[in-house]
This record gives sequence, structure tokens and C-alpha cells, in this order.
Amino acid sequence: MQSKTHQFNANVSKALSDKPLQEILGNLSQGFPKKRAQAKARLPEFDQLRQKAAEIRAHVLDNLDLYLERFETRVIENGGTVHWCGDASDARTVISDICHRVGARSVIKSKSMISEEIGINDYLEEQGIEAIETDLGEYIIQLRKEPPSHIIAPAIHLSMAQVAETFRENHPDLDKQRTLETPRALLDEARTRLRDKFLGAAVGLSGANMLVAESGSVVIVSNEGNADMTCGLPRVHIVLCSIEKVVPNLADAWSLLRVLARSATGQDQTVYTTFITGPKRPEDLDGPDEFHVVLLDNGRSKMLGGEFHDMLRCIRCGACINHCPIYSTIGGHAYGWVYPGPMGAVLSPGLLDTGTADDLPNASTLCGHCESVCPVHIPLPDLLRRWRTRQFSDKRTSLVQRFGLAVWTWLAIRPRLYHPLSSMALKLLGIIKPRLRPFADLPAPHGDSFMSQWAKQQSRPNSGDRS
Amino acid sequence: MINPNREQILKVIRRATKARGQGNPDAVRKRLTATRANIVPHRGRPDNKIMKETFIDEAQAAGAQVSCLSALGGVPVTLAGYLQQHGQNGLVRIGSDPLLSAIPWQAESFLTVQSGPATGTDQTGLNLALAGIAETGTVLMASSPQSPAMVNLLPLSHIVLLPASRLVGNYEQTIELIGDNMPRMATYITGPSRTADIEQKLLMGAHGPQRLFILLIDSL
Repeated sequence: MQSKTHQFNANVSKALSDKPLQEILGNLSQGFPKKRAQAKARLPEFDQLRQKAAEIRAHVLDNLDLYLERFETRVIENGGTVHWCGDASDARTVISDICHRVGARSVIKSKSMISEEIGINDYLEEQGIEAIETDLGEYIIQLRKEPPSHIIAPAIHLSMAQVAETFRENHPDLDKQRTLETPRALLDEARTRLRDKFLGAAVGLSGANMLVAESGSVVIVSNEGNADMTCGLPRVHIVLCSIEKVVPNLADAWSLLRVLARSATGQDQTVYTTFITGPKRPEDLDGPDEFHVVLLDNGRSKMLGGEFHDMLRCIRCGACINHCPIYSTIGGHAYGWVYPGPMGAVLSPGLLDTGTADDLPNASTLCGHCESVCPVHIPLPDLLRRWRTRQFSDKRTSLVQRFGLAVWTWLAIRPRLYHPLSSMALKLLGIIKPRLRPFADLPAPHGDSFMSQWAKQQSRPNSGDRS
Repeated sequence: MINPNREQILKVIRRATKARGQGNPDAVRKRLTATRANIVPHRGRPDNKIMKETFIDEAQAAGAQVSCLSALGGVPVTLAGYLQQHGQNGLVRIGSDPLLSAIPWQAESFLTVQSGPATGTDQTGLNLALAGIAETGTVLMASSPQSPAMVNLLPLSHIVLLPASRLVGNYEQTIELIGDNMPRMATYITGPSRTADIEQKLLMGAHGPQRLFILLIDSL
């Protein structure tokens, strides 16, 4: 998928003036964050489990080569094939070669952010192979030719009316008078539509939530059941997965699964949690004849051991996105690429060309909510800060910003000058602020600075005794 | 054949691992041979007395319906009633496990059972569960020639036969149960298929079954 991260400011302006989008974003906190809090409250061991999940992911990253080799060995023993791909182009070639070899005219897909990362749909379409998204949200945005706006709920930015309009435009063969005024009617139409596609496709392309080194299994979770059908109905199943997703054993997988759904949607468990181990076996009545795992690096190995190493612990639950005040103000499309929110603001600059995603780590209040809900304790605010530091030391920040910071630094280390000047500035802002257009939305500074208030309180008798 | 991508990726990983002083083959070997449960929540370790109750409560909370039957003989009448209640026909796609064949299907003339792989138009699919997990009211369906995986996914109603003796507390116990016989597809199902992709409104029956009906057999 083409990155538009470099147009961040324009994307944000567009999102802020998009009234329907703003209305939807206003309701976000009533959904996932609330449900996550309820799920957490129901499981007293939740924080202990998060700690364990973080340990497992960290241990994997410390021994990644060993676990990948073991996973590969097991997949081969199970009758599958492993394809190692360095970048997006390698992966696209491997996948399209398989499709051509088996004469596939269509490929059914279950939701996979990494497939968005490599832009596989457009690539297959160019070669005359239809790629069909089957996750309801993904299906809707594919019809609208839009990128996902959320990693677990790709069409979260759309209203029911917009979906109905999309279906009317894209299903012209159906009765024009039909009513599409309920989510149920829309879902039923998509289900019927996609059922035939499921049964007719020669290749199923899925992502993976985890790879289990111990057994060579691929773990895929879905609520709709579309992932299981993508893996089980076509003659060929291709799993596309990035290299860091491997976990040691089945018990470790379950430790992660206990925090994944709770963090993502607030469910105790995803409806379908499936461990796939190799292709169809002799005597089996269903299942694919071929089982391929495409292991994609695409920049991950270079992050290993570097400043952003901890980001590779991510299990893509989306909790940081759901709790981010910036995301809930600008939505996912403003981020301009596959991964929005805090995790995207850390990951995208590491995976995209240097300098093209510089705005993302700066679009954060560093409030820390993301880190507090992360099931694998990724220090997201700290990582965002590291990108900012790097931009500054690489001289990629604007001259105004550099000059401003230099002036501020000079003042900040001279407290005798800094305090009177900042007090003056506060008073001045209080006077001119309402008249200055771009600042009119900011709360007016009132009262004294913290330091002067503190000094006053200290000089009072009985200071500190507030009982 | 040496794959240059493979060697290159592993080389970069090894270099980074070495630079950080990490990489512990012994720890890895141990972790791969002696799988041990990490943290199992209290809810996943119910007393035998409340195992069944916990399972039923959790399965219902996830949107499944559970019926307790004393023996297999009660299956046909219960199932027929269920299908009629939901306005479905009596055609049932079933797996071919001997336990399923032992059900006296002819006792209920409304039902016609048929084994074989599921088709896209099957309204009802019935399979035998390998385990029921009390922790989250989850059933484990393991694919095999006797238990085709798509029977659990394609129909509108998914019926699961679960012998009470197959109830366990937590997921980790199913790892022991499976042992070295990892099925091709081990699907842990918690409630019926659903989506909330349109305006975050929860709807059952996305691509998979709209209903999950668990028949818990006490005598088995």
C-alpha cells in the first residue's frame, strides 16, 4: 500500500473538518476501551498475565533465529513449505508465483495487515487475479478502495449509511428497492455475496497471529469465522507472516492469547482460535492440498537490537490505538499508512523510507495511556521520544523548531532569567490570547506559574499540612 | 538449495543477537522440549464440583446455548426441537465418529443425517468436541477424517456434542490431551460467529454459524 505519511498535516486537516468522521470518532471510547476494562475487571490475574506475555515476547526476540529455524523444520516435517522473503517485492513474487502455478483466478483473503503492507491485492489484480477480502470490515473498505483505518476494525470510520451506499453501488445486480437500513441486512448481503467467493477460490491467503516453533503451527484468530474458511476451503493455503511473530511453545501461545482478545475487543477469547498444522492429511475430507508459510522480514531484522527493538514485541491487539486521544481525534487514515495510532507512529518510521513518516512520532501528547494498556508493556511514549530525538540529532526538524528549542534551552538553564520571563509570558498570553486566531481554542493561562505558586505556599504558615 | 533470503535474514538476526549478548540455545531447547503451563488464572482451575457449572456459565456468556442430556438417546428429540424452533429443516451434516453413529437417529423422523464434507448450503452441522474448556466456555474441535473442519464453520447452526468427561478447566490441559497428535486444524470455538464491523454493533452469524448449540452428555 502506497504510504501517505508524508502528507500528515494535510491528512489531519481533512479529518478534522470531516463531520461524519468526527461523529463516529466521538463514540469510540464507548466501544473497545469500555469492553477492555470490563474484561480486565473479570480477570484478577490480568496484569500478571501481561507481565508474562511481555517476558515471552522478549525471550523470543533474544533467540529469534533459533525459534525461526525450529518453526521452519516443523512446518516442513508437517508437509508444508516455508518461503523466506526479505522485502515486500520478494513476498509479492512468491505469492503470485504460487497463484499462477495452480491456475488461480481468485484468491480469498482474511484480514492481514502485513498483506496491506506489501500491497498484495493491487499486485494480484494487475496480473488478472481477483483478490477478495472476506473480513466484513475489509470487504467494505476494499469496495470503497480505501485503506483500513484500524488494525482490528478496518471500517470503524464508516457509518451504516455509508456502508449501505457502498453496497448499492457495488452490488448492482440486486434489487434496487431492497432495504439496507440495519447492520443485519448489510451483514446478510455480504455473507451471501462472499459465500460463493469462498467456495470458488483456489487460493486462500491469510495472515497469522502467531507461529508456534514447538509444533510448526500457525495460530489465527477471527470472530467472523472467515479466517478458518480461508484456511480450510481452497486447495492452497498461503500464510503471510512477519518473522517476529514466532513463539516458543503452545503454552506460551495460550499465555499470549489470554491477553490478546481482552486487550483488543474486550472479549475473554476470540470466537475462533485456530492452530493450523500442515496441509490436508490422508483420508481428510476437507483442507488444502498445499500449505505455504511466507516469512517476511521487510525491515524487522534491522530493528532487532536497535533503539526500537521493543516494538517487535507487539502482538497487534490495537489497545494503544483504542485508548489514544490523538487517534480518536484524527482517525486512522490521517496516519497515512497501514498502522495507525501509537504503535503505527513508532513502527511506520522504522519500516518506511527515512524522513517520510517524521510527523507521526510528533503527533502525540505523550500522555502514556498507550503504554498503560499495552499487553506486552511496550514503552511507546519512550519510543516516540526516541524518534523525536533522532530527528533532531539528524537535523531533520525545521529551523524554527531548532531555533526555538535552542533559545528555550539557553533560558531553561538560567533559572534567574527563566522564572521572571516565563511569568511575564504567561500574563502576556492571558491578555493577547483571545485576540490571536490560531490560539483562540487553547485554554487561557490563568494565575501564576507553578514555581511562583509553590513559593507562595511554602512561605505560608502550616504549609504542607493540608489535613 | 540455499535460499539467499533465508541466510541473509538469519545473518542479520544473529548479528543483532550476538551484539546484545543474547541467544541461549540451552534455554531454547528446554522451552521446546518441556512445555509447561505459565500462569493459569483461577477461573481456569475450577473444582470438579463446579467444572460443569463454570463451563455452562461461560459458554452462555459467549452466546452459546447449552443443553445437558443424561445420555446419547436424548440427542435426536432435543436437536429436532431446536431446529424446528429456529425454523430450520431436518437435514444435519455430521462427522463420522463412532460415537455419533451410536446416536439413535431413526427415533426422530424429522431428522435426516448425512456424513461427508460440509457444503456451502448445509443449514446444520454436528461434530464431536475433543474437549470443553471451562475457563471461557470454549469447545475444542480437532479436525480428522471423522471430524471434517468445515462442518463447524459453513452451516447456520453449529451443534457440538460434548461428553461431560471431556470437560477440562483450562487451555493448557488440552495441550496434554492432544500430546504428539497435533490435529491439522485445532479450532477453539467460543460462542457463535460474530462481527461488530458496522458501527461497532454486535451481530451474530458473520461468515460462520449464527448459532452454537452445545449438547453436554452427562453419562459419557
